[in-house]
Amino acid sequence: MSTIVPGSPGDPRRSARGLATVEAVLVVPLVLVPVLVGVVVFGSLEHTHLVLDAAAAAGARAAAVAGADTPAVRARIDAELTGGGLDPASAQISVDPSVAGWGQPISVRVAIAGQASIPFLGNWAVPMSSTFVTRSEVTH
Amino acid sequence: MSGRRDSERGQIAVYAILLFPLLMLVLVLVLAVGTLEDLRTRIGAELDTAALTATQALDVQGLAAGQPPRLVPGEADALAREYVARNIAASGDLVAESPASIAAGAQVVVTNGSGVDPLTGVAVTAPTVSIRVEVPARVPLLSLVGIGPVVTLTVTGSAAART
Repeated sequence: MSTIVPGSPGDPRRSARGLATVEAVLVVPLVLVPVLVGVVVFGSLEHTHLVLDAAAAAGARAAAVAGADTPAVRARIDAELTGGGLDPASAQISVDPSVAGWGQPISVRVAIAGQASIPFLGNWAVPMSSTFVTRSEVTH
Repeated sequence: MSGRRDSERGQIAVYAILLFPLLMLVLVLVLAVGTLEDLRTRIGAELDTAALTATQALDVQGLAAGQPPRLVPGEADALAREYVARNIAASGDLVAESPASIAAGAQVVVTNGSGVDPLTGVAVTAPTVSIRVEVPARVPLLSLVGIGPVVTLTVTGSAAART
């Protein structure tokens, strides 16, 4: 009758040792990484959307005070975008109407292509925009 | 001994397969709650904008006569509702009710002079407009986690006239 020495090449536990670790290393990236990447990408897009909202709201306020599409309005929007980490050069800004009389509604729309970046898969542009409407306070 | 080890082989994969739907559910919940919070923040900013617009309804004749600034309540109320509707109309397709209907059902409080704003609970010292709305938001992802696709958000905004 032969005796198996624990840890020797004949010990069946030795062949199974580390199997769980190998399985975890293979499986965990397939399950956890997509969830993690999804949360991070979504969070990044939400951040972009919140910055757009803040920029459009600030721009609408500035447009109400100016009663028109002025450089000051665009500078205000640019400052909000920059403060939120977005590139103002990549944003499209429209003020409608470009000149508004006292009491007339004036709307400001800020649009940008958000970036959904997934490692090893690529980047996708996600069009996003925000519009705020306020009332001109200026008589031209 | 060897048989027991063989039966344990692949356990991690089984756990992962069982865990996968649960993790996807968590991801869906994160997306749905994130979308709702984004909408809540946006509507809050819209209400602030509408309230600020409503503070244009100052009693101009009173000001010209040297009286302290005060808002004309009826005019401020109408302006607040008009701009709530205009801004919610620009919110996108997550809102499950017409902007006009939401604006009509909004609570608008115009406070002149000092006091406590009944909607925000904040002490005010200048003419203030406060607005509270209930907005049904449609988030289809919520159906996947067993919550109805429409959730009602209650949001408050306010603004004071600079004097």
